[in-house]
Amino acid sequence: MSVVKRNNVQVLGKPDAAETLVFAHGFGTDQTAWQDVAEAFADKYKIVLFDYVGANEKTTPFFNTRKYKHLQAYADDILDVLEELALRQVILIGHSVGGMTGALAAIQEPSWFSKLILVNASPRYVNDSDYQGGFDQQTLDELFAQMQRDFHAWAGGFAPRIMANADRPHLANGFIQTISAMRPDVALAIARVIFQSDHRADIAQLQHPTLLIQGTHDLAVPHAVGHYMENHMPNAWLTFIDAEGHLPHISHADKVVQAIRPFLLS
Amino acid sequence: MLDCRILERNFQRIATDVIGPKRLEAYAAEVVAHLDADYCYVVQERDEWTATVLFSTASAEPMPAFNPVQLNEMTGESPFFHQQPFVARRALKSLFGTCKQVSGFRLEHYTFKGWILIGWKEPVEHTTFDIENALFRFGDKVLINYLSLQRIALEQQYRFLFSVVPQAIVLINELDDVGWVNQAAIELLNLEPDELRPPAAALSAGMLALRNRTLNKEAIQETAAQLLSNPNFMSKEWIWTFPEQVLSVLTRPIHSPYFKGRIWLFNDVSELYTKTQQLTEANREIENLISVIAHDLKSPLATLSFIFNFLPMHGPLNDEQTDNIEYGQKTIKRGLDLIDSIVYFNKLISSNQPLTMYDVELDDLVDVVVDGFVAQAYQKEITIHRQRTDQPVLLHTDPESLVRVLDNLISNALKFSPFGRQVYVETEWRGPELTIAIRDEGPGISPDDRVKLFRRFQRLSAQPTNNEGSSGLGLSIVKSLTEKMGASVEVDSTLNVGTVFRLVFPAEYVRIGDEEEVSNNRA
Repeated sequence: MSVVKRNNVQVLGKPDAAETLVFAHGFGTDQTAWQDVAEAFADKYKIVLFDYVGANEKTTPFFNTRKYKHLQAYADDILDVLEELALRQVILIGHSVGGMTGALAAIQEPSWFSKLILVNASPRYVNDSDYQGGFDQQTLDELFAQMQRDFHAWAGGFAPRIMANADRPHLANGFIQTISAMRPDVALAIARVIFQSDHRADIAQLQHPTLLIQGTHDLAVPHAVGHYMENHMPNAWLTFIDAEGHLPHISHADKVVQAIRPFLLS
Repeated sequence: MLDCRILERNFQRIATDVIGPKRLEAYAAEVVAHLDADYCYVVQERDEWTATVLFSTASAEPMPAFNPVQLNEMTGESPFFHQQPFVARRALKSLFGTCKQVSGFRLEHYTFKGWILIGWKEPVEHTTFDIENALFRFGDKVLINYLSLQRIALEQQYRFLFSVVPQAIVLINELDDVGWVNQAAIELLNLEPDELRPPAAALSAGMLALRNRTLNKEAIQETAAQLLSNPNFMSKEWIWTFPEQVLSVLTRPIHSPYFKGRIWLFNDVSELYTKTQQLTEANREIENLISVIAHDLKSPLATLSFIFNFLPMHGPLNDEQTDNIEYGQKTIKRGLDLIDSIVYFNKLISSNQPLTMYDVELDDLVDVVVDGFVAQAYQKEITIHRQRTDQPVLLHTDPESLVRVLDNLISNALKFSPFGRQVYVETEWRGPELTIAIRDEGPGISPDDRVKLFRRFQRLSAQPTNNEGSSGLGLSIVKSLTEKMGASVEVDSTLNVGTVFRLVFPAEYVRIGDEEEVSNNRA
């Protein structure tokens, strides 16, 4: 069976385009999160969308804790896809942990990527002496415990806070739906891997031109994280967009598109 | 040309000298030296996209899982492959990034799927035949090593699993002369300490000795005879009683293409058993007590009755006195009847005496019973209607019990019916079953009452309509007797409309009699 099926890969957009945009989603969503943003580039670029293993019912059968115990395994999956589709010099656009995973893939196979765009990404979510990640360990332990006790109740509380934009409740409801599409044990396993990850040392090795897009009001990723990344990555630019919540590519797709466009042409 | 005999000889030396997990390392070092190679890996394929490195000569650190797609592509029809020049694709870079030549051998066993892989930094001159020959031999060693480690792990899991259960477990292996037991079984069967794989002979001796200590040898012998004659014999709650404990024994055969034997499981149920015994004993004592009290009550009542009988002899009595004496006698009679019912019911439930069953002509018997109630019915202006089956029926039953049951039901129907109503006694077919229904137009039985209807000494809300007495035992006697006769009793009741009690006799007790038979079996 092909990895195209494993990762539910869709190839859209302009088939003979010179450049390919690979969109990587974050935790609690799947490729549909990129719908609005991807559409804006479909006339000029080849578009690759995929689901991370475990993100939804389709991909959950391929999940196992032996392999997916660190983000590198998800990065390997991206490389599997690029290898099978014979794609090189792609532009990876990744949200949150999807972006960090894309960065790990690009570090491993630099020539397969030309640029990266990371939206509200973070190399480490837990505070550490001088580093402000946004979460302390106690908060995370409580979060895991809640997920374990009653996953759906947890999702109902987590989604509106992370999505924000309370004036548009359908956004949080949509997020609840995509979180709930995950199998609770798989979601918990993935959440542990994400929130306990620390890739601060890795991002320093990423040589590619990288655009860091960050929303101004994100509960999951504080401004300090964006500045940290810009300062520690050799070739990165940070740009803030006026957006509420951790998922601006869903809630403020137009602003994200506006931020991406000049970087693609540069 | 490499001499594989040297390799084999070295393998043999390792097999005798090196034990445990170190052995694989030694084999691999031997192969690497033999083939002048740089790396050797044993890789297990977990699923299509996941392979893990079980063993590596390159690093003792655990290596991350990788995608084995390139290995799968290199493995063709034959399990052996050899690539020179070799270029590691992404997933294999961490294993063979520096290698220019790689050989592999696919291992395909139902417990282990994967590869043994050899890498050379620079190409060597060996023929592929020599390399394949070495890998083929190494592959066997890898598999044997993996399987034996797996077997040790399994055995440890079994030991742990069975050591934590309180039951004694014995596994008899009919294809081998050793069995398998857990610690509890060693103690129970008095086997050699710590010997979890006792010889079959020791096991049989232990089991026999255990059986010989039982108090209920005869009963066990009876079941054991079935076991001897039937190799598929299964038993779930076979009770073995000892002076100090009671065991519930489960045994069943295990037949598979790979194993033929029998499992025995000894479960200590002493506590449960003692409690049940105590309860039964307490119950019996209560029944006895009831019996004794009932008998003891009878004699003062009889004396009273005797005295009342003689009162008129001491001189003429006025009307009021005569009425009172009559009322007294009636009360005494009711008391004696009640005592009789209690004694009867006690005997009924505490004795296991079978009933005397034979074929009786049913209509005749019912008619006799109904006739006995005509006078009582007349007093309350009630008509008893009889309905019979088309053809006479022979019922295999105990007539004495049946009469008692009908007596109770008809007497109840009359007792609880208001003046001037109807009572029906109907014999009918319901499919192959025969039913006798006693239907009244009484007050009906409330749903609350229906639950306790057949319990002993239950007073229900309906009251007799002509001052009749009621012991509260009648329906419990009906139920016990009916069930002893192999029949069942059903109730249909609608408040303020009436009640039907229906005795249902299964087909095996009923047949349609021919005339001669019928006349021979008249009540």
